[in-house]
Amino acid sequence: MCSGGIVCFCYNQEVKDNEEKGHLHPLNQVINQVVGAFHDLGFSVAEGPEIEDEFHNFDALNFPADHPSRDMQDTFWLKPEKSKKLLRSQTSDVQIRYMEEMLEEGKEPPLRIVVPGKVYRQEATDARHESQFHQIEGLLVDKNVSVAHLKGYLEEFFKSLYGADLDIRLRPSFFPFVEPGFEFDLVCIRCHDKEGKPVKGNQCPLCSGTGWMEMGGAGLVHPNVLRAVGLDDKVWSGFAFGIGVERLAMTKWAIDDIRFFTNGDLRFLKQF
Amino acid sequence: MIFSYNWLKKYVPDLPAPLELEQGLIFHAFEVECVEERGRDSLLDINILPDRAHDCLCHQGVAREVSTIFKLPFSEPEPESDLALGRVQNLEIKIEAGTDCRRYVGERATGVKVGDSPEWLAGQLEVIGQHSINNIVDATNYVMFDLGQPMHAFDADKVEGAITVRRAKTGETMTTLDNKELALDESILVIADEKGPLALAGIKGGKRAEVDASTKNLILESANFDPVLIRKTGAKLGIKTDASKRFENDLSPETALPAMVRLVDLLQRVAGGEYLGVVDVYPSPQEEKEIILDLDYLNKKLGIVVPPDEVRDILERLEIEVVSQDNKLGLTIPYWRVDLQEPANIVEEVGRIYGYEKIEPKLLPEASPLGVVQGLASGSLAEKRFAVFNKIREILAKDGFIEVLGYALTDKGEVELANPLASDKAWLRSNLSDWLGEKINFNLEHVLFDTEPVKIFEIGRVFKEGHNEETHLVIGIGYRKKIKGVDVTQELAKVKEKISELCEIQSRGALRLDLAQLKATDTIAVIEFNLDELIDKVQEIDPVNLKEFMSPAFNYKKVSTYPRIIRDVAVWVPETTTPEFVIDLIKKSVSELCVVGPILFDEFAKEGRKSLAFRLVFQSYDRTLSDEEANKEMEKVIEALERESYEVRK
Repeated sequence: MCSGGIVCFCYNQEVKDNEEKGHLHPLNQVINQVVGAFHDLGFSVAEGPEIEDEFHNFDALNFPADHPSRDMQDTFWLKPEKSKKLLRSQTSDVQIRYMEEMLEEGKEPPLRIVVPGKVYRQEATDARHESQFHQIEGLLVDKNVSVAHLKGYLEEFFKSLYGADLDIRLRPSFFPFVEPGFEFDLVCIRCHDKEGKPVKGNQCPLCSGTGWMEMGGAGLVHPNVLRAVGLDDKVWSGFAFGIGVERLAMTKWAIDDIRFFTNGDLRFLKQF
Repeated sequence: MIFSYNWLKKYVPDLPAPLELEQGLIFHAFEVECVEERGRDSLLDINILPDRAHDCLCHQGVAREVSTIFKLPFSEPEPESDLALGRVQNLEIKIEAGTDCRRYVGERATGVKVGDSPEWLAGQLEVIGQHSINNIVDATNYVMFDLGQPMHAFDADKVEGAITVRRAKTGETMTTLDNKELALDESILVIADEKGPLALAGIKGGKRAEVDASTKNLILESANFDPVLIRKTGAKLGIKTDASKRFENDLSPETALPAMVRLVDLLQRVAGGEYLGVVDVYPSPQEEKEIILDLDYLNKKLGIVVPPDEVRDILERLEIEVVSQDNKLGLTIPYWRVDLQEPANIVEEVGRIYGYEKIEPKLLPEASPLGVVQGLASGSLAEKRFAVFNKIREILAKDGFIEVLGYALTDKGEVELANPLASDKAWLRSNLSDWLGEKINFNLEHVLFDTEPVKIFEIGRVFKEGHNEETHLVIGIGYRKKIKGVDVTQELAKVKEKISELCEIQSRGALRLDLAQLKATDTIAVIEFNLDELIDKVQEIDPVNLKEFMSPAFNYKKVSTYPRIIRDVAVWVPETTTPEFVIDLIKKSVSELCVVGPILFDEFAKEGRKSLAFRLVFQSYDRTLSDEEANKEMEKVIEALERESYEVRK
């Protein structure tokens, strides 16, 4: 099936029935690995509320009011409706909260944060979609930050996570809070050659034979986002990215239904 | 939106093959969901995101992108006839509603023949999933999918007096083309005549002036409306159309006139008639946008040096006018690119066309920030919480607890959703205990022995009155039956003590039961803490080490949804025979229907030999197993044991 890669995966390992041993939830295992890798790159953990206001979830992130870009993220609103409170549809709200608090305390960038957290979307659930899921947001603000840096840090991160040099690639995309905006793909962790380049054409469940796996969204921080918190966009620049935790976990263990993560079934959870 | 390959080819005669086209679009412009052959055409499902929906929800827009990406000539079809601009008899247009209507181009036609569309027109629409209605309506739809400009045709003989763009009055009603009766009010913009509303502006036509088989004379509309107003009205009435989608994405009003030229040209060919000329009401024309691009800024953002000639070439391929002065470029943006507002937008344009793959990865000089926080006191609160929560996970996992993650949306609580997906998911959970208790019971159905506990925990947010949230920890233990000598409440108390030890010495014991809520029966105990309160009391913790709980990658095993069958077997073996040997023997004798076990659950020696008892679970992934199937498996087990001359106890 797949060519042998640099990354060693023991796919024949048998699941042990060790009744005495406790287990960490697979999503928290992934979150810990990702945060650990970003710790090594100088990022520290930040967090924010799951009940959010329109300003942090949308306005400050350059989603104009009454704009179709808000439709990209079907949002749960809370009662009473006049409160304008919602369940955050992305962890990007913490970008705003973190920078606001930092400036309030009289501090300035540079900053590097990584934000694991739960987000909500008002969309029907199936094997691939859940109305609650987890993201890990990253934000780096400094002087002269470029697309080259975004690529560099993402590569370093995956190197730390998988222990191998694997290529990433950027495709143009749109998220209101970044410009330019991308989707980023990682060379399939199963289908790659010795240089970390993709190998196409395998019947691989992870990459469907393309040699690449979709990992998340990213981009340079939009000048409007820096302006919204009161940073001078002529001095500061940055990049941000978001990674889907469920997607990483499903990739790692070839899990084919996202709903298993929240069904509390120990026959599933004891495998990890 | 679905795009036709042949349609794009009208603009780009040297269009690359469909798959090459797909690759070019994916890496330089848009995500392509799929490409598929359809007769002599190919269809591309292209995901046009909101930043480009104003100019690329049409074939002309995507064709422009293709021409830019592949450096291919772009050719605009020449109209066969000119439009007469100016005053037109029998056509008066009034815009009463200030900025709601940014432009209204009207045209009067007489003597048209309504009928079926010619095959090419009906076929071209059908290929992209649009039904053919008649030649007039099809022509207006064709222009929309061609140029992005929604068009409308009224039967002129059913219109009385001037065409007026105004807000509706409360109490007015209108029947839409699809026979929906709508009650209107002042928030809604309409196209009206002397008698009342004719159409919902920018959204949907009305029944009264519908074009039908007997229509002879037309009033044609190519207009532009305020995007926010169209979006709000669409949301309020629950009507979304191809037209409203284009208007709410801020289509340029400049498109209205060339679209009318295209429509008239097309109608002359498919419906005949005489075209009297257009009236163009355009109170404040769109201003030309100019941006100054500093080449240093561009290169700093991309992290490479793009050769200046290349930058200029890319911009000109995007039909941006470029004037260079030293290191700066003065750019005049074409009217259809209303998304290009500042230099950051130009960085994306140059970057994506030049190719992101040409950018080499780089890291910042490591002088800059932070570094990893050592010890809790020096770190942020979020770092502390992350570390302490992990420490709790470590303590509990070492004690045999399994972490679960529950669903935040439930059927009761203190915070209610305004737009839930279902009534049993209309509230945010206010505690973790309820769900955890349910899950203990659920998992107890799957344990194999009465002495086997279910031990689970969760760390998660709960939501309280006034939109407040707290982070809680819940821990639970359950047994199927009351076990002699086991007190579930005592077991939990021991665990609670270990977590209390995280708090600094002087406040030990501060984690009293009133901070934690305990629910217990004889067989199940659940305790819930507010971790926000605990965090304050923690000063320092030992380093977290979760290594032993991290799983390597492997293919997980699906959990069967079909019922299981449990069987036991007991066997006399010589005293020197190990249980492992027998387990191996049994494993080799059964098929893959044996999903758990054999698990040794009883062992005793008597008169020089040993009795071993094993439990096995049989289950299928695709059907409910019958007793006979389980019996057959057990026969194989017994046969294997007897082959070793063991005595199977019956």
